Order: sequence, then C-alpha cells, then structure tokens
Amino acid sequence: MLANVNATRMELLQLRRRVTLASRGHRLLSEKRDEISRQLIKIARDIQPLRKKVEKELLETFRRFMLARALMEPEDVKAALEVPTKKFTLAVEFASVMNVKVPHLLKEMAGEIICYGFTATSGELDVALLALERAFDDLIGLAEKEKQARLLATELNMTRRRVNVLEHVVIPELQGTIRFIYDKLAEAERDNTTRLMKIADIIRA
Amino acid sequence: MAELAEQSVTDFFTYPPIGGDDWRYTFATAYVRALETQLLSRATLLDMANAENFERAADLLSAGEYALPQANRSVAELENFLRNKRSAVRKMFSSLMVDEPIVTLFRTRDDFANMRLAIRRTVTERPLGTDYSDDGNVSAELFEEVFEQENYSLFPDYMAEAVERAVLAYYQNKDIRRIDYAIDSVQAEYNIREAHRLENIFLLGFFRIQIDLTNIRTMFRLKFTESDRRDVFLQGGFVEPDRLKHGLDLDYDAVGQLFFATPYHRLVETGAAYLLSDKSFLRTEQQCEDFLIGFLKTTNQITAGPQPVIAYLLMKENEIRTVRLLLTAKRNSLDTKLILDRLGE
Amino acid sequence: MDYGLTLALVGAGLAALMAGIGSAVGIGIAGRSATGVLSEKPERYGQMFIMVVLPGTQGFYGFLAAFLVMLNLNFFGAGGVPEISVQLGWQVLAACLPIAFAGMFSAIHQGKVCAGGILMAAKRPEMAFKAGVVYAVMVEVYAVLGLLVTMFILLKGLSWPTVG
Repeated sequence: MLANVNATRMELLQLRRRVTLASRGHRLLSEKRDEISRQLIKIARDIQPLRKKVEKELLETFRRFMLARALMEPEDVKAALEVPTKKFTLAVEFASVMNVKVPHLLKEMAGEIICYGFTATSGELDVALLALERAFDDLIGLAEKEKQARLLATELNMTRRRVNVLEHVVIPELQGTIRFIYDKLAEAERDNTTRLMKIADIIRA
Repeated sequence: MAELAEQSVTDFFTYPPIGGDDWRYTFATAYVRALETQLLSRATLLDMANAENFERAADLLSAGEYALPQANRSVAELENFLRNKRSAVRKMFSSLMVDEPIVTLFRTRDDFANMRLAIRRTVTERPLGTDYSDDGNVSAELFEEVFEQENYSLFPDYMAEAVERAVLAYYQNKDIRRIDYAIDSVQAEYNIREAHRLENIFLLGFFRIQIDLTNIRTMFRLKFTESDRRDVFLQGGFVEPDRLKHGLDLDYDAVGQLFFATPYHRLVETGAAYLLSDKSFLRTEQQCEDFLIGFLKTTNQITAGPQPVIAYLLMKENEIRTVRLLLTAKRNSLDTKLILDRLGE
Repeated sequence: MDYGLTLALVGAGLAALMAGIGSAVGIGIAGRSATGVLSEKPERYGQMFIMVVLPGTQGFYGFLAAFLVMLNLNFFGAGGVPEISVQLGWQVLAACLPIAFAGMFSAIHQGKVCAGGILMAAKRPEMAFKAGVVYAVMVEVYAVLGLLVTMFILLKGLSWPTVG
C-alpha cells in the first residue's frame, strides 16, 4: 500500500487509471520477454556447434603451427612472420533486435596470408596459416553471435525484473491502496449517513 | 668439375659424386666419425615419439648430451638449450675445418636469415631491433650499424648484392614475399658459385640437391595453395625448372611420373600421395630430409676429407631440429601419428 | 776410379730412405686418424695401437735390406771395406730397389687403409681386427714380397768379395 495517500475520490480515480496502465504494461513486457527468450534460444542454438567448430579449427591450426615452428630454425621463423601481408579491417554496425542494439561485425580482408618465401620455411606453416584464414570467418561469426547473445540476455533479465515488479509489487500495491481508499470513502459515507440519521432523530423529537 | 655443373638428372643413379680424399682432414674425419656414433639412434627417436608424455620423452634423453635440467623445462628454456647446442656444434665445425672458406660459406646461412629480417623491418619502417643471430659472418652489431646508416658497402659482396636485389624486388610491387624470393635466389647462386670457386664437388652436389629439394617442396606448396606464381623456382639444381613448372599443371597422381627419370621419383610420389590424403606436407618434408641425409651418409666412403665433417654438421643440426620437434610435440600433446609421419617409419 | 762401392751404398741408402719415408707418411696418416678417434673414445687405445704401428714395418724392412748390404760389405768386421767391381755395384743397387719402392708405396697406402680401419673401428669395434687389421696386413704382404726379393738377391744372387 502506498504511504501518504489522500483518501479522496479524485485519488481513487487516478489510481484506477494507473492500475489499468500497469497491467497493460505488464502484458506488453511479458510478451517482450517471451520474444527475447525465443530469439536468445535461437542464437544460443547456433552458438554451440559454431563454437565447437571454431575450437576444433583453432586447435588444428595451433598444432600445425607448433610443428612448423619446431621444424624451422628459430631465426627463420622470426624472419618469416615478422611482417604480415594480410590486411585486416573490422567495422562494427548496429542492428536492432527487439529494440536491443546488437553489433554486426563487418570484416574486410585483403592480401595473401602467406608472407614469406619458400627456401627457409616449412610447408606446415602454409597449412597452418591457411587453416587460420578459414577459421577467421567462423571466429568472427562466433564473436558476433556471442555478443548478441550477451546483450539480449541482459535485456531479458531487465525485462523479466520489470515484469516481476509490475506483477508482484506495483499492481498489488495499487490495488491495496484502491481498496483502502474505497474502504475509507465507504466509511466516510456511512459516517455521514449515521450523522444525518442522528440529526433527523433530534429534529423529530 | 666443369662437367658436373652441366650434369642433369640422368647422369647419376641416386646421389651425385662426392669427390675424393683430402689427407689434411685425417684427424677431423676420425673425430667426427667417433662423434657420429653418439648421434641419437632411430630407436631412441621412435621411443620418444611413442612416449606417453613430455616428461617421459625428456627422460629418454637424460642419458646423453641432451639431458635437460630437471628444474626448468619450459618451452623458452628448451629453445634456448637447443640453440646453445647448435652454436656449440657450429663452433666445433669451424675449429675442425682446415679450409676457412667452407666455414664462411656455412656461416652465410645466418647472414641471409638476418638479412631477411632486417630488410623486412627497413622497408616497412619498423624499428630495426637487436635480436639478430650472432652465428653469421657479419656480427649482429655490425648488422644493425649497417642498416641504420644504410651503408651497405661495409658488407661482403654477396650480401651487398642480396640487399640490393631484395630491396629492388620489393619496390616493384611492394610485396614482402619478393624480398624472400630475391634473397633465396641470391643465396642459391652464391652457394653454387662458391662451390665452383672452391672446386669442391661434394659441396656443389649438396647445394644442387638442396636447390632441387627446395624446388620440389615449392612446387607442392604452390599446387596446394593454388598460387599462380611460376617464377619462384631456384636456378642451378639438377632438375630443370621447366619440369617443375610442368608439374604445377599436373594432378597429384601424375606428378610422380614426371620425375620418373630422376632420383626424386619415390620422394615425389610418396609426398604427393600423403598431401592428397592428409592435406599436409609432413611426408614430403620427411622424404626430402631423408634424401639429403642419404646423400650425406655417402661420405662414409671417405677416409679423410672435408665431406664427412660437413655431413656431420648438417646431420647434427638435423638431429637438434628433430629433438626440438619431438619435445615440442610431446609438450603440446600432439598426435603420435603426426610425429611418426614426420619421422618416417 | 771405380765407383762400384758408391753404387752399392746408393742402393742401401735408397732402401732405408724410401721405405722410411713411406712408413713415416703412413704412420702419420694412421696416427692422426687414431688421435681423432681417441680424443672422443680413449678406451679404444689398444685396438688403435696395432693399426697405427703396422705401416711402420716397411721402414724396418728397408733398414734390414740396407743392413744386409752393409754386413756383406764388411762394414762392421775387421779389415775394412773392400773395393768392389762396378758390375757388383749395379747389382746391389738393383737388389735394393724392390724393397725401396714396394716399401714406400705400400707403407703410404697401408697408412690409408689403417686410417680407414680406425674410422671403422670407431663405429664397429668388433670388426676392428677382422677387417681393419687383416686388410692392412694384405697390403703388408707386398712389402714383404719386395723384402724377400731383395733378400734373395742379396744373399743368394751375388758373389760378394771375400775379405781377407
């Protein structure tokens, strides 16, 4: 129940309006909550296999790279990988899912990933770098999806809290207050009636 | 000597001739022959490959000269340890060789590696850094000095030439890789030229085989990456570049046939099959290495001469690489199959 | 002036000199090989020793031939060295040549064979005697043949002057 309310008819009308508003808000928010969790489940379902795939690819790349590195003389490794030829730019644009701003990654790659000559390097290094290049697309897709999922999850949490607050705190409180004012007004009515009856009795006597 | 330079693939059966004895090397030959008995045996290497984990593999080495310190077995420590081993072997090599030019020739390998790094950094305007190898003819300090002042006349001729060609190649279309291609070809030419100058049939054969093997690997790598570069083959090997260029247009199954008349037939065929089935160059590289080691082992016929000493240096360097491979592979728990494929069975 | 004695002495000299040179070179080669192996494997000293020593025998053969000539010319006996004919001088010279040349060349080559044997012994100690020493001895045979020819001629083929 709200504190410090004036038990007036005016207040009662106002509170009734607020209750209608709150329950309409509650309905809308819970619809939003359902939709967000639907979206989230969809994204999460994509993430799982993608993540597995990326992990596998990266592990493979890492192994190849380890082999290549071990097979080459240390100074050759340094010389081969010192300056990359592959240019890589990443831009972010935002899309809106259920009024949540989610990032969308735009990548631009140019040049070949193999940046060294043939004599002093191992073929395994080629294999590793090419695998890395392939893994890149998935890696970026995964990053994008995971960020989206995280943002949606935050939003979902917030919406759920709002819905709960409306459902369990705001609406019951308002309804309590309404009942209180109603009771108060009814009390005042009866009080008045009693007083009038008493006056009528005095006049009659 | 002159004929050998003209020799092409069909003039010898498997390995080119290695020349005769040189009795100045009697002591050195006997010394490395005794050391050769201490090279890690095939069985030890296979045991290491099959060991359960890194500790087990490292323990297998503990009896010999590769005994790692018990306390600190981190990757960095391991690299450092093996690099020191390599320096020690190279130092021993230079003390055993009577002909100073041969020592110089083998030290140029580090010069060229340093140069690849330094030119890359110079043309991309990065800081020159101080992390150059000190095993070359040109010390790391002089190296930095020369590149800082851009005064390449302080370098020996072959290096000045390499710098010039590399920089020129880079500015043709600002491609970093052209630096490497240019230095690679200068290095190959220099090696061949020096072998001629020293009139050393063994070195000439060795460098020509090396060029061939590099070319064959390059051919596979170009095919695998579907690159359209056709001008990167090195000149001077036994196999003519035209054959290799032709190989680029063939299927993997057909490449072996192309090399039928060369000593590399089996190598190419095995490498191509593995590349096709496993998408990896491990087999090719293992076969190339075995071929080269096979050639080096023919120096067993020599009772005294520079050949066995050179062969020992190269075999020891190879052994150090193999140990590094095995230990890194074990530390990162790589598939035993991969390791065995690289070691060969 | 008869130069018979001079010729005989040249013969004796050549026998000792050339065989000696051969042995020195041979031992030099084998010795350097052996030190190379021994610096890593000192425990092989015993096996190496015999192979280093083998090329030294030719020097002794040459010395033996020279000694025989000197003995027959009564260098060490009473009565002094007799005058000998030019013909005998040439004969003595010819008799000395087999061991001179066979000794010199066989010693050098034996040195090389021994060096090879030493290198092999470094890798396969069990073969050191079977192959290393036996092959070196095969070279030795031809030095021995040269010595035999020289000795037969010196002892049986010539009519030495009797001192008296």
